[in-house]
Formats: sequence, structure tokens, C-alpha cells
Amino acid sequence: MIVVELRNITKIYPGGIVANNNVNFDLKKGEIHVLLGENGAGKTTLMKIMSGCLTPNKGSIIVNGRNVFFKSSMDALKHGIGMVHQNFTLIPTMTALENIKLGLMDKKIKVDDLVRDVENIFSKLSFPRIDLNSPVYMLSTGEKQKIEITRLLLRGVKVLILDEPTSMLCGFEADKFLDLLRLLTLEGCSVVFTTHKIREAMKVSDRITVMKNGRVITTLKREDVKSEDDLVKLMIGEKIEMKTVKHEVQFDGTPLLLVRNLVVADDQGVVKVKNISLELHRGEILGIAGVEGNGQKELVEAIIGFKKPLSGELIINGDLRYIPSERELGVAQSLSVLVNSIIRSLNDMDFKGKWGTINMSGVKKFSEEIISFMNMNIPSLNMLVKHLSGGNIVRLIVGREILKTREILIAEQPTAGLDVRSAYLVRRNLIELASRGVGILLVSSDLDEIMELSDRIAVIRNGEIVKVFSRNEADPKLIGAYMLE
Amino acid sequence: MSINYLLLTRFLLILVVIGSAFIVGGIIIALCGGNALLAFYWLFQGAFTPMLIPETLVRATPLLLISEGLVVAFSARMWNIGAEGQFYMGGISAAIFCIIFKYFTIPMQPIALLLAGLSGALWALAPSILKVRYGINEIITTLMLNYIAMYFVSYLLQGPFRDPVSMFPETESIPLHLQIPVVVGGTRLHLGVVFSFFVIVPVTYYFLERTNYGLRIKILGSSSRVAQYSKIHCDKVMIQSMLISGFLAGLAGGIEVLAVQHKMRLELSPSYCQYGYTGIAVALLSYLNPILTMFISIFIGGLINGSMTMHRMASIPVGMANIIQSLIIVFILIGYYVEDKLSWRILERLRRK
Repeated sequence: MIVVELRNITKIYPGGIVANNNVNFDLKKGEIHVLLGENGAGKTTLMKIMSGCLTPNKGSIIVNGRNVFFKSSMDALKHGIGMVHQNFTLIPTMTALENIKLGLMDKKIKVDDLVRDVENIFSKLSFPRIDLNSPVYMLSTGEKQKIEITRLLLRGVKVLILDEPTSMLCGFEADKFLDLLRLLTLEGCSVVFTTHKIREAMKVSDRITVMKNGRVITTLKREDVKSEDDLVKLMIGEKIEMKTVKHEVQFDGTPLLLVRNLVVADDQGVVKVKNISLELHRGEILGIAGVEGNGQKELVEAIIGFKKPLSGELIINGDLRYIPSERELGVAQSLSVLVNSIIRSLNDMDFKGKWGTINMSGVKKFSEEIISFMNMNIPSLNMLVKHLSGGNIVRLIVGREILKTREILIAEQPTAGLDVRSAYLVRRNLIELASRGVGILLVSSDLDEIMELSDRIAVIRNGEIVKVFSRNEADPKLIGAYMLE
Repeated sequence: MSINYLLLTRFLLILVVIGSAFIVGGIIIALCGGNALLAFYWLFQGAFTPMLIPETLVRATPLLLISEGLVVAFSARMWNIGAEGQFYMGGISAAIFCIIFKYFTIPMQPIALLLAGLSGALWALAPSILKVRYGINEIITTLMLNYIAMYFVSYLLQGPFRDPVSMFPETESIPLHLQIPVVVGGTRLHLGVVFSFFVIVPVTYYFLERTNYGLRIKILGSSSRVAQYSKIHCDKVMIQSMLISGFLAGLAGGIEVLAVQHKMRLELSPSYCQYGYTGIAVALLSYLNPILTMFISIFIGGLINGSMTMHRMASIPVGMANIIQSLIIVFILIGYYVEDKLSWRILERLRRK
């Protein structure tokens, strides 16, 4: 039985970008339907139309056989359709419970009743305990997501739309999340989730719809998909050689980065890095694998000098560059692309003129270099960064840091938010840097990426390095065991 | 290029903002039984007839200096609301200096002005240190210091520095050789106007747009966390941007005393001008662009002067100009929002092409 059907949907954004071009999509009761496509394929737009956040220029929405029109997401909610956005809509300073209550129709519900309802849902979906009275900004991404889902379920949502739900979760959290989807369907929900990760689409889905350039390429039953390669072809049109070639590393000389018995606390004063020791050698890519929130953030913050360690030793032999996982940290939103290409190089002689002036021609040359290096397509260097797309912001940061790296690079999630092609380009360049003698500390929640690039893999858990694997002994299952144990 | 479109949008929006303020202001005049068209006719006559343009420029000069300083401070997200007090401190220091050294016949105006600037900067120093050290909101401290400055100046003018022969609380006149000379005979257009428009404006622009230091200020203004990430000493930049802003406000006070009033008076910034507060509006309306600031201060200066003509000729209270100014601020805020929406659309359209 079809619960929701989108028929001949066309969405043209003001300005003429055709995000959806005559798209058909349907969702059956109790199924998990994956909407697969690269960044910018039009997945989010389609889902926003389905959840009433956007109105289409053409086409109709049919819910349970009846033609409906959604003026806002409230209308969609009344029909039991709710969406968890990629950027959460929770209010950070309010507690989890307050946020849940905010979304409810019944404002007079007693706190105890609400807590009972929430815990009921938690136990049905086998969520771990979440402190409902802590402010949302203190929760992890995974927890926030669970609050969002709970909130929708409490509002009686039967059709759950999840936009890139796993993009902020690391491998194991993501896997657990995919299991959760099955539980949701058992509770009578129908689920659509968008992703650009083929592995996820293969792992948990009943049907897969592939989108590209605003059009639906095809909708397949999961059983009919033979291999991941089939989906890759549909998604990006041609096959890209994904494997990167590795070089050999020699461990000699003084390490570029020496961390000894480092102890670091987070902003709340909780010790997050407990006695970590590391060495990063010339020409080495050292991967840090771990579930998000196990001290990676604090370790990196201490290394880049953002945070003072409580104790321990930190020796950095060389110029250090940094790709932050929090992309907002890497760019000044209200300034131009031009300026943003040098904000991490304010003392770089290439960009300095006489009398404290900026050498504009040098800056311009460098910006253009980044743009051609990362294949960015932007109308002008004077464009403000806040007007760039998310992908272009990542390209700007990653390109800038890679081009400026001479000795050490701390790369956090260097390919998150990039399309397949750019991600490949970045990985190839990381290896290229390493072969020139640069030491790279790679912190990523993408275990595949760490496996592919690293010479050594250090597994971080609960603020400690629990195991260091060399390239040859690394095995995803084993690493996973150490990450979770 | 897209950027030109965006600038054009911004320029048109400023016109729309000003226009809307006038329309609403006109409605208010009409509701009170006045003739709005007549009122605005005299308003513009009083501001921009060729004969009165020098007077408008004289009026615009303190506004310009103050708002250039505020542009710097605001670019670093230091909300200096204390330009009024800094202006007064500058004025009184320059006056006192000139009175003490009135018998020296060498031209000492630059020293007097430097002193005025430093006094203004000093007045901005305490709030910035409180902000950096203890996180105390600079909006409140700078605002409060305005009153302290006013009453302090008032004390000096009633007490130790009062001109014994004057009926009003004011200092004695500054001797001619210490005044800032007029450049166009028959007008009050003085050298300070020329200096402000042709030196301070380009220097501020160049400083913010083309120097490493200005870039640091702007990065800090964009986000303090990004600034930290870019290895900028945020505290230092915050204090310095505030000092620059205080310096220019103090300088404005000094110039006003040496070139226009020729003495320190309690009404150095009359209630219908309030340069220090109006400067905030000028800085914001010009989108923190030092060049645009120049045009906006001329416009607001004209508005102030014109309102007096309007008062005389059309019997509309001078306060009407204040209402229009306030309306402009309201519409600026709306304009910021509209601009954000519009620029997205324009960029999308261009991307499409």
C-alpha cells in the first residue's frame, strides 16, 4: 500500500535553479526507502517538499490516496509526515525535554507524563539513556538526532523523513542507526532516508531511488541490486577509480610531532584526553580511529594550540596546518573568498606588502590557485563565503590547507561533505603530500578512509590510545572491536 | 560581475531605506496636520542649496569622524555606544590645552588635536579593558561613560574653566592663532572638513580593506572563534579597535572646538544633533563601509541642518528630523534582512546564467 506519492514534482528555486525536474516518488507502508544521490542531486529539496517545508512549482502530493496541499510543515505533520533535517532544528540552550515539549500540540501535558512517554519510546527503540534535563548543546550529535526522532514520533508521525542522518555519525553509530530504522518500521512507521553513501543504501533498504541532477534515474528493489558498482554507475554516471596508491614510509629522524602523556580537559572541565602518547614521522599518515567524542576533538585542540593541556609534553617540529572538522571554524563567513584564502596565513610573507599592507596580487594568485586546484566553480573571488555552498566551503578550506602544508597537517574529516570526485582528489593529494615528507595526522570517523590512507592507525577510546595498528595488521573488524570495547 | 550586482542592490536598498523613512515620516507629519511635501521641500532646501552646502559639510564632519571610528570598532564587533562621551572628552581637552597655552604664538593645533584624540581613546580604554578582562558588556559601560563625561565636562565648565565674563557655562574663546582656519572665505568650511574628507576617509578605507591589521579586525568581527583559529590576539585587536574609535571621536570633538565653536560649550553636541549617537546610525546605514560613510554623513548632516530650515519655513518641529533618523534606523534593520534574502536570489540567478 502506498502511503505517500509525489507525482511530477518540479521545483525551481527563485533564481532559476531547477532542483527537481518532473520527479516521481512513492513510499509504501512500512518500508525503508533510500533516496540515493550525490550532493546537489536534489534529494533534500524533494524531501522538503514531501514534508511541507517547500512548495513545489508543479506536481502533486498524494497521501493515502488523497490529493493534499502542504502550506507548511505543520500541514504535513497533520498528515503524519515529519522530517529530521540535516541541520537539527533543536534549540541549543533549552533542555532536551523542553525541546520535545516545544514540538507538541498538547501544551498542557504534565512533565511526568511526557517523561514517561519519552522513555517509552526510548525503550521501544532501545535508545541508550539520554539526560533529558541537560541543555541540547551538551548532547552529542547522535543524541540530538534521537531527540529529534522522539519528538516527531510523539507528534504521531507515521512517515519519517531523515535527511542524511548518518553524515554526522561515525561508522559504528551509523550502523546502529541503520538498525534503528528497522525498529521504526516495526513500530508502523514508513521511513525515507537520503544518503550519498552506497554502502548504507545496500545495508538497510527495501527500495532504492537514485537521483541525479534533479531527476530520478530509477527506483530499484533492494533484491534487484547486484553490486555496489551498479549503484555507483547510476549515481555518478561513470566509474571512478577509488583506490589510491600508497608509498613506503621510513621511520627515521626526529618525529615531526611528539605527544607524551598528554592530559586535556574539555570546556566543562571533564578530562577527555587521558595520558595519550603519539609520534608522527616524516612522510607518515597516522590515522586516529574512534567513535566521535572519545577525545579526538580535545587532542587536536591541544595540538593546534587552541586548548592548554593539563599536563604532558607536546613537541611540534615544524609548521603546522589544520583542516577543522567544524567547517565554520575555517572560514570567516562575512568576508570574501579572496580574504578567506589567507586567514590562516596572516603572517605569511607571500601575502605581506610594505607597511603592514596586504599584497593583494599575491592573495589573488593564491585564491585562484585554490580554485583551480579544487575545481571550484564560483562567479567571483570577491563573493562572500556565506554565499558559497557547503561543498565549496569545504573545498576552500581543504584546498587552502593542502596547498600551504609544508611539514605537518592535522586533517579532521578532510573529505566529509565532498562529492565522490573531490573526495578522491583530496585523498590522492594527502598521499602526495606524505610522499613529499609531510606528516599527516588524519582524524576521521570514516573508517574506510582511515584504512585506505594511513600508514599506522591509532585507535582512541575514552581518551586513551588503546591500540596502534601498522598498515599490514589493520583489519576493520579488529579496529572496530577496539573502538567499541 | 556578481559583486557589482550586489553593490548595486545595496546602494538601491539604502535609497529605499531612506525613502521609506521619509514616506513614513511624511505620513506622521500629515497625521499631525502638517504639509509633508512643503516640509520636505524646505528640508532639502535647507540642506542642499548650493549656498548652504558648506554648512552641511561642516555639520557632517564630526559625524563623519565619529562614524569612521565606529566603523572600525563595529567591524571588530565592539559596540562602542560611547562616542558622545569620547567626543566631549576630546573637545574639553583641546579647549583646556589651548587656554593654558594661549600665549604661545606658535601653531599648536596638531598637538591640541592629538590630545583631543588621546582623551577620546582614553575614555574608550576602560570599557574595552573591562570587556576583555571580565567580559563586561561594552554597550552598557560605554553608554554609561557618556553621562560621566557629560557631567564631568559640565563640572569643568561651571567651575574651574568657566569663562568669568560669560553668562553661559563655557570656556573662554580660543585665540585666533590656535583656531583651525577657514578655507573658503565667507563660509565656515574649515581645514578640518578637508582633512576629514580627504585624509581620514581614504586612510580608514585603506586601513580596513588593505592592511593586515584591518583584516584581523574584520576576521574578529566575523567570528571570534575563527579569529582565534587564525592565531589572532583577539583581546589586543578588540582593545585597539576600540581605541581607534575613541581617538576619532575625540578628534572630532577637538576639531569642533578649534574650528567651529572656538570654545568648549555644554552644547558641543546639541540635542538635535547628538553626534555620538547619530554616528552609530551613520556607521550602520553605510554597512560599515568607510567610503559610503562619507556620503551618509553628508546626508544626515544635511538632514539636521535642513530640519531647522523646515522649522522656520514650514513650522514643523526640529524633532521631526530626529523621527526621520530613528525611522531610518528601523528601516536599516529591515534592510539588512532584505539584503540578505535578495543577495541569495541574485547569486542564484547569476549562477544559473
